[in-house]
Amino acid sequence: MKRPGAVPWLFVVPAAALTLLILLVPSLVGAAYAFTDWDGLTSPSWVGLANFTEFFDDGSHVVGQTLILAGLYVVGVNAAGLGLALGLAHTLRTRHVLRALFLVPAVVSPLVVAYIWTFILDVDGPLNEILEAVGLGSSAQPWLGQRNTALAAVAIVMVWQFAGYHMLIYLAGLQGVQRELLEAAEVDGAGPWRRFADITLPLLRPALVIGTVLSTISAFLLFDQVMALTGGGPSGGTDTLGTYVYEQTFVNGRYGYGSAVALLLVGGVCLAALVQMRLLRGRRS
Amino acid sequence: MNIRGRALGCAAVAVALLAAAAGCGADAGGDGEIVVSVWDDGREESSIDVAARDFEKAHPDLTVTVQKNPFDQHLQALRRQLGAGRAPDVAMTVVGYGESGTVRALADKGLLADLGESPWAGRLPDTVAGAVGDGSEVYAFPVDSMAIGIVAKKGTDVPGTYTSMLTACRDAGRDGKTAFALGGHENSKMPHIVGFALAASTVYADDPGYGDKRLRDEVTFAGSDGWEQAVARFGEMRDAGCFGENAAGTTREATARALGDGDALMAVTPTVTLPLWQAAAPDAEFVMAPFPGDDDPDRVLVPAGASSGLVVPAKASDAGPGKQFVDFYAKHRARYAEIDGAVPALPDDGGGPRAPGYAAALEPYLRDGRTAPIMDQQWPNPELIARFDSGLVEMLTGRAEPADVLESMDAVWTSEAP
Amino acid sequence: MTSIGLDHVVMRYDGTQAAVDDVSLEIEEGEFFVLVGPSGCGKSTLLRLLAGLERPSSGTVRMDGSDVTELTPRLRDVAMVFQNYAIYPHMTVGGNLGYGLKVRGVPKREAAARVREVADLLGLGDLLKRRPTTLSGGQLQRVAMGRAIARRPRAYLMDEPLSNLDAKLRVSMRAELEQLHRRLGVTTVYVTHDQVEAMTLGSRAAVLRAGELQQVAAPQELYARPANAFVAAFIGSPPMNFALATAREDGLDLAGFDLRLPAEHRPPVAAGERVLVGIRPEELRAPQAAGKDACALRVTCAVRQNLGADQLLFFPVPQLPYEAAVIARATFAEDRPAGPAVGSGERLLCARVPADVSVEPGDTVDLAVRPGALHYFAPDGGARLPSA
Repeated sequence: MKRPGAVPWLFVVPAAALTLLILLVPSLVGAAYAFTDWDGLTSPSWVGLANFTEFFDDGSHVVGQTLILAGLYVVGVNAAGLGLALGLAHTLRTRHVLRALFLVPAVVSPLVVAYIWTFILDVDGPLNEILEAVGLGSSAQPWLGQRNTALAAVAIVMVWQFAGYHMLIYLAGLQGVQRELLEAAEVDGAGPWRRFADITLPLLRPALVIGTVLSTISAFLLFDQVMALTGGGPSGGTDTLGTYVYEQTFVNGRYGYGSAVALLLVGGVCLAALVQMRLLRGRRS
Repeated sequence: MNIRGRALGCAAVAVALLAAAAGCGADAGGDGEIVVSVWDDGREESSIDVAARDFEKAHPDLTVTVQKNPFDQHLQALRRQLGAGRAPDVAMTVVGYGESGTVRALADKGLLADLGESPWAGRLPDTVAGAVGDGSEVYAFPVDSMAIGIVAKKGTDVPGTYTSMLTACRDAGRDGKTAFALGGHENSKMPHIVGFALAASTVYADDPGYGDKRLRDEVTFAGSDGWEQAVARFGEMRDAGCFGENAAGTTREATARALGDGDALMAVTPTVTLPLWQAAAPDAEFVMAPFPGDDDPDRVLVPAGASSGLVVPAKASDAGPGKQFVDFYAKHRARYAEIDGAVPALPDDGGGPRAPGYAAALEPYLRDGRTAPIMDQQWPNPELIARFDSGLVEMLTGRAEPADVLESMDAVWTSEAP
Repeated sequence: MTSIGLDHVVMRYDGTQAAVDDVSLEIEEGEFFVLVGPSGCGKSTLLRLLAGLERPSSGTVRMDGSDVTELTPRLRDVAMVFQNYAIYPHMTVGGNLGYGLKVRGVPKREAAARVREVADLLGLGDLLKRRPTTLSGGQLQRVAMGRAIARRPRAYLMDEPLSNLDAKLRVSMRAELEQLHRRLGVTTVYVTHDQVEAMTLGSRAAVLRAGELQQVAAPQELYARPANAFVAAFIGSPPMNFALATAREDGLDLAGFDLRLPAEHRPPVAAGERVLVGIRPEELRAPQAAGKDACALRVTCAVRQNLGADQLLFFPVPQLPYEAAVIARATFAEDRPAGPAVGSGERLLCARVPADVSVEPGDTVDLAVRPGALHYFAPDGGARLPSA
C-alpha cells in the first residue's frame, strides 16, 4: 500500500493547531485562574481553594436551581421528542411537513426565541391577554416574576425550542424498530402500551442515551434562555451555573472566582454524562 | 521521531506562530492617530463625532478615529481592551463605581491617567468630584449629568408630598390604573431607582456625607435609620398599591407600554432614559418632576450627578494625545452639549440650564444644590446593586422585610472594587 | 382448535385495484390449509386479515362460527409465524418463547413449564439463554414456531416461514412441520408461493391470482383437474405444456400433429374451432409406457436435462406468433416464472421420461400421450372445458 505522504498532515496540522490554541490551551489556563483572584485587568495572585469554599458557602442555591431546570428540561424534551416521533413516524400524510414545522424552532437562535417568549409571558403580554379573553383571567399572573412559574417557563421555552431536534433523534431510532416486531407482539396479545414498553422502548435504548446525555449537557450549560427570559431572577431565583458564572465574571469582574465556578460546572457536566451513559447503556450482550 | 511525535511537534510550532501573531497587538493608536472609544447612543452624528472632526481641523497632524460599541457591551469591551493591552487613547465610560469598568473601579486599579492638571479640573463641583476621582485626584472629564425624578405625560397630576403620593396611589388603584409603572423583572434594573429616590430624602437629608462615611466603613446600611426608613417607605408604597399587582414580573418594555397606553400614570426614572418612554408613545409629551420623598419640602432632595465621563487610559506609550483631545472637548463642551441635547455635567459659569427642558421642574433643586448623590456611584462592589434590586423585588412579593434587604447589602459590601 | 370462515372478503387499499377481491373460504377444524399463488396475489393480505392486523374493506371473518371481523388480534387468540421470523432481538430465546404467555397473564410457573416443553419439542433446549443475534436461520425459524406453539392458540397462521431457508433445510423443515401438525392437530393456515410446498403440505389448497380465488381443492385435484389454465400452469413442475389446436371430426390438429381421439376424449367444441390444449410433461411418455390407444408423436429433441432418475426432453413444435400471445394471456404468464424460451415460429414443449430412455440432442424421439391425459381450456379466459 502506498504511504500517504505529506497530504494528510496538511489537513491535520491546521485543525490540531486551532484546537490547541482556541480550545485546549485557554481551557487549561482558565482552569489555572480558578485558583487566583484575577480581575481581568491586573496580575492575579494565588488564593488556593478560597474561591471554591466561597462558592460552597454562598452559591449552592444556584446548583439546586440548575439541577431543577436540568431535570425539568431533560424529562420534558425527551418525552416531547419521543411523543412527536411516535406520532409522526408513520401514517399521517402530512407528516413530512409537520416534521419540518416542529424542527423550525430549533434552528432559530435561542436568544431570539427567549426574547419572543419574554414578550409573550410579560404581564401585559399575549398569554395573559388570551387567558383574560377566554375567561381564565384569574390564572393570569406575572409568569416571569415568581420563582416557580419562572423556572417552569424557562424549562417550557427550552422544551418548545428543542423538542423538534429530539424528535429527529427518536425518528432515527424508530427506524430500527421494525413494524413486524410490533405486529408479532400485537398478535401475541400485547396492547399498545405494552408494545411500547416491551418492544419499542428497549429497542430505542441507543437513541435514549443520546437524547438524555445531549439534553443534560445543554441543561447544565444553560445561559441564553435564562438570561433573556428572567435575567436570573426574580431575585436570583432562576440563576443557573451558567448565568452565575457570567455575572460574577463579566459584570462583577471576578474572573478568578468565575473560573472556579466554571471549573466546577465542567466537572459536573462530565460526571453527569458519564453516569447517564453507564446507567442507560445497561447490560451489553 | 515517530508519527505521533512529529504531529505534536508540527502542531506546537503552529500554535506558537499563531499565538505570537495574535499577541502582537500593540496599544491602539500612536503615530499621530488617536482612538476614541465610545458607546453607540443610536445617533449617526453624536458630539464625539463632531469633536473628532473639529480636533482634526485644529491639529492637522493628528487623525481621530471614533470606535463605537453597542451600549450593553461597551464597558466590557473597554475592560477587555485594557486587560489585553490594547487600550484606546480616550474612552467614554460611566463615572463612579457600579459595574466593573467604571471610572473609579478602573482608577483604583491604576489603569487611568491622572487628569488633575487639566484646565477644567479645578472647576469640578463637590457633587461631581467624588465620582470622577477619589476627591484628591481626577481621572475623568464628566460629560453628561443625570437626575432621578418622576416621568409622566404632560398634564398629569404629580403629587407634591409623600403622603399625598400614597393617596394618589390608592386613588389610581380605585380607577383601575397603576400609579407607578415598575419593572420588577431582573433585566429591567428599575427597582433600585425608586430606592434611590426614597433614600435621597431620608439618608441624605439626615447626613449629606453618608456616602463617604460608608466608603470608609464608618457606617452600615442596616444600622442607618435613614436607609431603614427609605426601604420601609418602599413597603408603604407597595401597600398603598403604588406599583400595581404584577410589578414583580414586569419587564422594562412592558412598563413603557403601560405608561404609553395610560395604564400607568408615572414612573421613577433617570432623566437620561426619557427617549425610552417617548418611544412607546411618540405622540405624547413627557415631562419630569421631583420625587416627593418626604412630606417636609426642605428634606426632599433630588438624586443627581454626572453620568458619563471621558477617561484617558494610562498607557505604556504616550498618554499625551488622549489628554489633548479630552481638554479640547472640555473647552467646547457647551456647544457639544447642545448637539447631544444633554446637560453638561460641568456647569457653565454662565449659568446655563442644569436640567434638560422636559425636566424643568427639577431645575430649582439642581441649581440650589438640593441634591443627593447617585448612590451606586459610591458602591464599589457591583454585587451590591443586584442585592438591592433583588431585595426590593422580594419586598414587592412580601417575602422580605427592610432589615433583610439592608443586611444582605451589608453582607456583600466591600470598600474596594473586586 | 377452530374452524375459520371468510365471507366475501374484500380488501381495497386506496386506488381501485383490490388486493383481495371477494374471497369466500371455509377452513375446517384441524385442517392444514394452504394459500398459494404468485407474489402479489393477495395471500399474505388474506393471512393478515385472518390475524386481525388489518380490517377488511367489506366482508366478514368467522372463527368457530362467530364473527371476529371487529376483534383485535389479541382477542382472536391466533398465533402468527412471520416470513422474517420477527424474533424480538432484545430478549433471550426463552423470553421470546414466553412473551405471548407473559402478556396474557399466564402464571410464571406454568409459563416456564410450557416454554421448556416447547423448547424440548423443537430441539431448542440448549438455546434458551441465548440471544437471537447469535442464532442461525434454521434455529430462528424454530424459535418463531416455538413462540406460536407455546401460546396454544386456536390456529396457526404461517406466512412463508420457510422461504428464507436454503433448499435442503427447507425440505427437512417441511417434514418437521408435517409431523408437528399431525402431533398437535391445530388448525393451520399456511401461505406460500412455492407450489411444491402447497402440494406436499396441505390437505387442501386455495390458489389465488390477483386477489381472486382460482380454485380450492385437495392437491391431487388441483393437479389432475385444474379449474383453469392458470392453475394448470401454476401447479406441477415442470409446468404443463400448452399449445393451440384446431378441433377435427375425429380428434385434434395439434401443433402439426394429427391426433386421433376416441369420442369421449374429444374437445367439446365444433370442428374447426380453436381450443387450448394442455399436456403434462410426465404424460408425454415412451410409447411402450403409454398404453394402446395412445397417440403417437415423433419429435426432434433439442435439449436434454438429466434429473437423475428421470430426464427432461425439450422439443420444438411450430407455432404462429399470435398463438404465443393467446397462450400467455390464458395462462396469465406474467404472473408465473417464465417457461422455456420461445423462438420465433416455434415453441418448446417438455417431456419427462425415465433416464433409461437413451436420447441425445438432435435425435428423433417417439413419444406417446394417452387421450385421457389431455386437458382442454377455452383460448379466451382459460376456463376448463370438460371433454365432450
